Amino acid sequence: MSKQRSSMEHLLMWSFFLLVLVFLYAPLVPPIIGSFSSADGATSAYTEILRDPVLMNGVMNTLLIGILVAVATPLLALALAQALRAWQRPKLILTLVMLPLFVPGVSMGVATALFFRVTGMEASILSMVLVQVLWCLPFATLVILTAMSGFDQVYLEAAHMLGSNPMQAFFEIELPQIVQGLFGAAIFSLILSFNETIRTSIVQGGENTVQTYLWSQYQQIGLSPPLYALMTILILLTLGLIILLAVLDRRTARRAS
Amino acid sequence: MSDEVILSLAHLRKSFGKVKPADDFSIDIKRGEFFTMLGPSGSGKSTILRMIGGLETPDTGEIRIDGRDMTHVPPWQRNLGMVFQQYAIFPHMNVGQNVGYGLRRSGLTGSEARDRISELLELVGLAGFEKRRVTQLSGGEQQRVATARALAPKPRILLLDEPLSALDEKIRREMQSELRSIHTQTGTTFIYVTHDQEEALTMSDRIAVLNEGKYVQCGDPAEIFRAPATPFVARFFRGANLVDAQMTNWSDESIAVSFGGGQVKVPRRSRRADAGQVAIRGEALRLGSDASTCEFLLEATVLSSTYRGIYTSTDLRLSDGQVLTATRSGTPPLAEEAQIQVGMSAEDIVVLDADKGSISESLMEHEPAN
Repeated sequence: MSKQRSSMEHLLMWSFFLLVLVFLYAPLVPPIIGSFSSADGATSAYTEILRDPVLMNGVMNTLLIGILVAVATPLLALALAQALRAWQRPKLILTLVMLPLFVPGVSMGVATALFFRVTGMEASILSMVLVQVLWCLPFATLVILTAMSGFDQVYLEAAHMLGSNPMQAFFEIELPQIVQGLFGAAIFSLILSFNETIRTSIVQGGENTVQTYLWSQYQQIGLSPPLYALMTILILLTLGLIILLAVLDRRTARRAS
Repeated sequence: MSDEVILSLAHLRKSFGKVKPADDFSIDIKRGEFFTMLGPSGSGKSTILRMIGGLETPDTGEIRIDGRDMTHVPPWQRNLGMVFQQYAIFPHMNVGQNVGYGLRRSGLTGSEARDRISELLELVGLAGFEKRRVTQLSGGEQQRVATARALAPKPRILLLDEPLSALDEKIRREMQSELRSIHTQTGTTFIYVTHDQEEALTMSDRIAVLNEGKYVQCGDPAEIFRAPATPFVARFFRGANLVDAQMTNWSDESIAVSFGGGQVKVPRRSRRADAGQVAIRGEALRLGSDASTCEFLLEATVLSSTYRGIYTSTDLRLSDGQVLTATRSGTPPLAEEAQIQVGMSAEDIVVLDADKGSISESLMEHEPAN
């Protein structure tokens, strides 16, 4: 009896889980279908992307910005996390660093744009990178702090006793043990950079990213098969990155055990 | 061991808020010595060890190693070795890489370093373990790797911070004698920190018993065990009886001690003898017919007598109401309420100096009798 009941419970639990998944992923399906329903063949929407010079320029910009953000943010976050550990008041400073999480995107974008104008900085790729690094920094810092919290500082003391100065001890002992966290922060930053639209669109100037292009196309022209195709590619790319993150996470967990 | 001083600590002071792990701490340690700092947790022993290593800086005072002032030299320039309580074996390196880590900046060639690594692994009984992953090691093996790693760069002094406390009883005993034999083979000066009295007695050439950032007594193990200086030290080594006593007829050599209805002249041992208490080891007490030849005899009542295998433990009430515990081997338990003679030699009655400081006072069960 009880066995039957527990299998009923199992069934319910899995059905509910399935429902949540459907709820999460169903909205992603129409663009995929839409991208293949173009009048002149299933893949024409995809090839059309390649023929749009504004969009192709946006793709290049997105890649460039994404890579710059994914490299710069973890390094800044690592420096920040190291300082937070060294200082005596980490809570207060951490809260200050988390600020971009709480400021609404439009406000932050406008504030940054004003700041750039006052300081005389032209809107460019650089201004987009800066605004995205600001946005990604709290997340990256949290990821790296988590990785560092699993690192026992007695290892550094052991390295010092064996003749290593703080720089050598960091690169030879700490970095290899927290490097997974750094990769995690980089991938996280890359995903956030791909996703970011509002803050970026306010400081984009003459340049476009894929997201700002999509947004302006949607507002000015409306939906079309090439837009669907673009969204499909973006969704698959993001899923790929999330899987990569999960794999990294599992590796870290295995190493820890 | 030579008489040459390798490490000299002078007037070290350190405080963390109200806690004072070092309170005017001074000591000289000789080259090649196995020196142990023994004390309860919070006595400051680990902090003093960390100051020697350079991982903490004293507020005031001086640390001289080989005659050179090292007080403000960073740890990586002191050429000392340290074995940590948690071992701190680098998890991203194999055993050989761990042991060889301290050789990276020693100027040894690759093959010289490899020779040194295998030499050390052999010393700690792990020959051929170079390629092992550290996650595959048992606690005892990790301890050995930590010791080999610390010794590899030929440190001037090896500091050991409770290195065996994470191991279980049987392995701990094995490692005690192995560390002792490693000390003999290498001739390196060992400074060892522990809260385990037996460990300290087994391994050390000299022990300093610490309390509240000071040492209460410093001497060879037999001296400290047989003639504790204060009630704190006596209590630290299990099996000592603390007895309130009147002290009269003071001279430089001897002192008359009365308790339990008798009086005896005992050696003074250059003590202040101001604790109003004496210490008597339980195994120094003779009972019944064994007692008749003793210098000092008292009448006592047996309160309880328990067979404990290796020895029999007997609680005795003296005529003044104080209780002594006698431990004797190879004798059957005695009947309760039996009247019996308890005897001891004057040598075994140790007059004590008073402890200073708040912890020691709060530990005292009785006010001094005089």
